[in-house]
Amino acid sequence: MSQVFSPEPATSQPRLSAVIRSEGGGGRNFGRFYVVHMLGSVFPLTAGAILYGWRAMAVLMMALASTLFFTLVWQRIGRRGGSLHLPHAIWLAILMTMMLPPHLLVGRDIKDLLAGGTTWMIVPAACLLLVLMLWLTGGVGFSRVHPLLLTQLTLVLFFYPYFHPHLVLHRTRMLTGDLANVIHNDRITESIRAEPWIASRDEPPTDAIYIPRVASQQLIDYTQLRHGTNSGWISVEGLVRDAMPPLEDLVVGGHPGPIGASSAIAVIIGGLFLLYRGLIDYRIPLVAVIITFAAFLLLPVPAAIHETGAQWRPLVLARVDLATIVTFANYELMASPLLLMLFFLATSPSICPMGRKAKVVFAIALGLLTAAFQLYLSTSFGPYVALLLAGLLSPWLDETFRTRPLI
Amino acid sequence: MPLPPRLIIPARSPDPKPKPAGTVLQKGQSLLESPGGPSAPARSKIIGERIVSLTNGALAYSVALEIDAPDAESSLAAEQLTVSAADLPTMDLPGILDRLLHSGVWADRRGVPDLIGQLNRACKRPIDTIICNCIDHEPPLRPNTVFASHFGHIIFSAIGVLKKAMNAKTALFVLDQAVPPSLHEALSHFAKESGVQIALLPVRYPQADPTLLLYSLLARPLKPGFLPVEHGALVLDAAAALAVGNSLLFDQPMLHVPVAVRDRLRNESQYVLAAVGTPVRDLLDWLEINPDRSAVFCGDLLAQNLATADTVVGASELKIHTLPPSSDSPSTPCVRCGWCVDQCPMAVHPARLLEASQQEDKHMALSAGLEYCIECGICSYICPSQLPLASSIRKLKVM
Repeated sequence: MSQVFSPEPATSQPRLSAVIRSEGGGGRNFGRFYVVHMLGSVFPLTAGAILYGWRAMAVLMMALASTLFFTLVWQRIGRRGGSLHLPHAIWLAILMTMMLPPHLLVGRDIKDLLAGGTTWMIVPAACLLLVLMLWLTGGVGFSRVHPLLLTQLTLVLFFYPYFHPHLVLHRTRMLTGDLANVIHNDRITESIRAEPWIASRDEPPTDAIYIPRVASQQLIDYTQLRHGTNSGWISVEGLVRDAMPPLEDLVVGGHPGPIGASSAIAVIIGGLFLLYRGLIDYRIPLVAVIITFAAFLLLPVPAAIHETGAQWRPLVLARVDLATIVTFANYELMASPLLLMLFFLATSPSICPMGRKAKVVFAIALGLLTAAFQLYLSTSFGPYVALLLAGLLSPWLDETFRTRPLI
Repeated sequence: MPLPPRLIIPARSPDPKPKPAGTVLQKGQSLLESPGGPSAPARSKIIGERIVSLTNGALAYSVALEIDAPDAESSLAAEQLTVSAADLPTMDLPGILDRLLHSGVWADRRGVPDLIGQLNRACKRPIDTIICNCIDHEPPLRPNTVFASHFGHIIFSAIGVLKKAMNAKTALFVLDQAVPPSLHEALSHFAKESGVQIALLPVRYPQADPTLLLYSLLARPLKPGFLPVEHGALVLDAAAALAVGNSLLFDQPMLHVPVAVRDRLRNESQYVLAAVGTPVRDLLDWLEINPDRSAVFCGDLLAQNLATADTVVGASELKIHTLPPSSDSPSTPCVRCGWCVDQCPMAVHPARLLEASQQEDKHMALSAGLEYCIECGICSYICPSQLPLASSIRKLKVM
């Protein structure tokens, strides 16, 4: 009998049967690139529609219409105008909507709502800024700085108080409720729930509920020693146990946040879809999440805050039980737009390096920067600042960590 | 396939010279002044010498023939004959080489880099492994599997003879691990008879490239462009083994070659025996494929080896693809997505190679892995900007 053996193939190329779908035509092009990205964003946007109702979708529609208009205008301006592509601009407008708070068509907060807020103007202004940034940076792949990050951070700089969402629809009114319907008998329906949103059984008098201090605010207030308590001191155990919402609200949804980043599961499904379609590299989200998680444990945070000061220690060295440490890190991961940034922004062409090793190093740097900015600067916007800086490292990483040929 | 009215038979080298124009040849008579080499497949007249392009894009010195008996059908001796293990002749390598040269057997394609060159080199250095590369990585088109199922006895006998002659330790017949069990069983029988091992590989394009094949099977680092014998292995494919078997076992010259044609307009695959020197245009006409209404590519589709008007079938690529002509959409600048780098089976940096090509910077090209590129074409295929990466790399290589 002849010997039969099955050695492993040398490489991990795509199977040709899977690659040749178009019978000899191009494998991928930018049309498909944007369409698949848009399909990936359907999952977090659907979660946004469920949690925030039609007003969130109205933000999306307004952003799309404004971007379309401004792109058509700016396409005619200068030689750079020719580099503006509608599909790219539309895709970035969708991404930007995912990063915006859902209450922009409601008002800054409840006081503004009563006064008739004009925060809706932020949406077209953001779109104008986005198209301007796109025009300046030259479109996809031409700049190491993501035009959307520049837009978002500029918006935050100017409209910081308007970018903290507090409203979410009640579970029984999801999708169909109105986010502005939050006042009953001249009183705001506030909620600091102990039970997860998904399990809530009460019948609220209004469609939406108002959460005065959201998880991201609680976390940054704690690490910036601004967390006020009645007793005058707070520990990390106290923060995790008493101040934070149920973790399920951040994982599944039900806690106010940006339109596309309120449900971690939806973001992960969208990211997995992009991975499955081969559009993004798994190394960046995977390595960055692991490194960020580890950095949350290793970077010094206040183990307890007293009236006289705080005890800054890495959590793994503080006298805190393991469950609390892991829960704190989980809150940091879920309360920020980290996952959205990793799956949808950090994997963008020209932001991340091209080589495999360089991508891993980039993800490590991004993870460390994200953890640092999240802990010490802003939980809500730290990941965007981290990506802005990490993207600048890409050319150097590509040059330093070159791919080595197989043989 | 019947013989076309004209054949342009490529020769491996311009020496020795062919017989003068106007010479009438009988079937099997050599085209050259000296005996041996390519021969006429039927009664025919030499009408001149040409330079034609082969199916791998290379140019070759050729002899044009006018066929007097165009209705003669192609056939291979192997179809009618059988051979048993006891019949395997014992020959030395120089003797085999002489016989093959006399029969006009040669092959030079991606799966079999310069067969005669390999055998020549094998006379001077030890060869421990013979690899018959029967991988088909384009699922609708399986020429190696089809040839192996039809001519398995000849192919395995040829490998057995070569193994004996080279005193090789191992002879491997490499197959896609997804071949039907019945075929595997049938081939196992031949393998046992001829002392050949069957190696199953999960097939991923471009696994059949000798560089990747040697790396996968033997962990030997064969640089693209070098002969596998430099690393102690002789590589041939089913069609080459068939030609060798016909020559060594039945003393048959290489008059015909099996050709696989994939018509993507009709979504059909066809396998034909075509006379060496048949213009691709005539072959497609006979298969009722209009070459003027389709783009014709030879070899692996992703390698984008476009056939020209004078391309002829011979010892080079035996796969032909016909596609609907596509309107070339313009390329857009590189966006540094890194997909080409990510998908490159040799882990070179195609985007940097393109940049080197644009700047005509050979040093940058070498640092990006130019000499390791196997020109599989995956980078061009995968590029969302539709940049001509593979063609730029080819240009760099001839710079």
